[in-house]
Amino acid sequence: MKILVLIKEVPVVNDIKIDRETLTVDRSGAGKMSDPAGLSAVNCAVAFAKAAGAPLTAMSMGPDSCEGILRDAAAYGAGELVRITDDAYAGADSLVTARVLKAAIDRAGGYDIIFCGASSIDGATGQIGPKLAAMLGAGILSHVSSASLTEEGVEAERKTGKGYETLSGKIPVVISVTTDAGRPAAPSLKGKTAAKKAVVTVLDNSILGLSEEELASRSKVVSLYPPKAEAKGAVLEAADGAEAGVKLVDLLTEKHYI
Amino acid sequence: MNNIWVIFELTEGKPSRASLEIMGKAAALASEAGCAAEAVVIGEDTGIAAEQAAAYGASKVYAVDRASVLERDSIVVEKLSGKYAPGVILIGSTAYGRDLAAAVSARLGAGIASECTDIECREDGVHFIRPSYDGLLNTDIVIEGEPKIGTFRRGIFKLGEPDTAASAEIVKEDPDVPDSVMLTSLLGFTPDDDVAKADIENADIIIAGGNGMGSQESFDRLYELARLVGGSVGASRIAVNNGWISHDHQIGITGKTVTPKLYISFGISGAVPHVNGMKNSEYIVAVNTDPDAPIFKVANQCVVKDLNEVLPAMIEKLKEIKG
Repeated sequence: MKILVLIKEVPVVNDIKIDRETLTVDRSGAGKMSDPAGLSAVNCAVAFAKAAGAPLTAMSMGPDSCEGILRDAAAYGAGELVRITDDAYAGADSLVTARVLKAAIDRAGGYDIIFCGASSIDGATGQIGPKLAAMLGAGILSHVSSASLTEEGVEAERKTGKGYETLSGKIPVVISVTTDAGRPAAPSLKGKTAAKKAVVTVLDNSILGLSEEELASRSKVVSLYPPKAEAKGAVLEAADGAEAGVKLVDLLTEKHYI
Repeated sequence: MNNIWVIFELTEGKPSRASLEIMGKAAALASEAGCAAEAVVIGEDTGIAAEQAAAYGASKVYAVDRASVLERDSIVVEKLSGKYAPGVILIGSTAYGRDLAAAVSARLGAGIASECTDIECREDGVHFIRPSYDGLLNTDIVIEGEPKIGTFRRGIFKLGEPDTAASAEIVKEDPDVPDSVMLTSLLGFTPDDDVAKADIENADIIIAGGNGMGSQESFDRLYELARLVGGSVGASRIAVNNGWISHDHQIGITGKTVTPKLYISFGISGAVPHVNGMKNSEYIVAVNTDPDAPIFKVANQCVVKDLNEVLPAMIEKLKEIKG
């Protein structure tokens, strides 16, 4: 069995500065971090690899800086690290990103179980897991809060409505994980040493060979603009807060809301 | 423009609320753009959903009478789209809808704008609007080629009044899909009290608290008010970050989108990310001492008073009424 975990480097959202007058977005001062849901995916993937005695590969698409999060994954237990990068991949939408990841997965001869974050804090489109599954002809268990290996394949739980759904999937399967699945435990000394020594394999388009047509993003951002303000509602007149509270209960009762 | 499709999601034959909300929006868009709004309904029994689709504006319903399974449904939509060439495909952003939309996008090589907050037909075509940078800015997205796929959470569009006299042409479809694609299944469901309490997306009344609550002790008083009116407790992101309540109760872009009949907020300033998650509530009451708090711009009833006086007075008064 071969297991893959997909991780992503994201900007620290609070560090991003937006000028409300000029509507310019300044990401230059923003720090970089591993996407939290991706870290939970690493947590699940490491547990699966241990349980199955299977090799674990961590893969990320991004610039040089994302080797940091790949090495972190090595410290947690990933044995093989792959970084995908090419100028032609810059600004890829979710469709193009999924195609590039599929090419890298095919090149490795495929994986039995692929983990990824359910939704990243920056793009938050939640597209990669189900898109990859459709492209690979694999099953998809998405937004799961926990997962485990079974004799037939995998079982997972998903938080929904008033409880948890129990889902099962046959292998090959893509599992997208929410932050409910927890973070990996702090790495051991052995893990930290492994992380330092780990070799990151870099794949670019000369290796993956996607065509210009395949790399053309179909969705384009045409503009950014501030949401428009709406008109203010009625103001409840009252001498003080206590009177306002009583009046509010009367008003809501009268309107049959309570 | 080619027709606008809405892919319905059914639970025991009944369409999801998001499906109906989006159907209503699709019908309005179609009449602007001079095309038709149509529904795709997949399920063991599609009768009720087809009727409802018509009541919310579908002129035609493609009915596929077989159990809905995500991987198989994505191939059904792929095949129907190949046959009828819709211009736009709209899907509710639920656990099922998100994945279905992604799979259909992958299969068709079609561009997608997910978790949108609006869609507009302009002279140069369809524009999808989605919040970015934590709601500080809206992103205006255009998609090349057709179909263009968009997903919308429940509550983004208001549910209109159904026209029960309306009827739609029903087209029965049964595209050939290999059984081998059934790769995942639902084994069961386990109710959970904590998860149920956080099921604010289905709540009729929500009492929400923000940073203005000031402390855990003060925040906890919201539960008493919620109990008295039979509501659920929600929160702004800051309240969650303060550790007063779990993330499952967070309302806004990075939390849940809610549409209760009554929404009462205490000490929430109403930053854009939060407002995006609750502005389609039927009746909104906001309590905040700052008269310029942005929450008042979406509130039906603004209470510019100290919540520490308002909240206890409401609880007292309700106890008096309920005896």
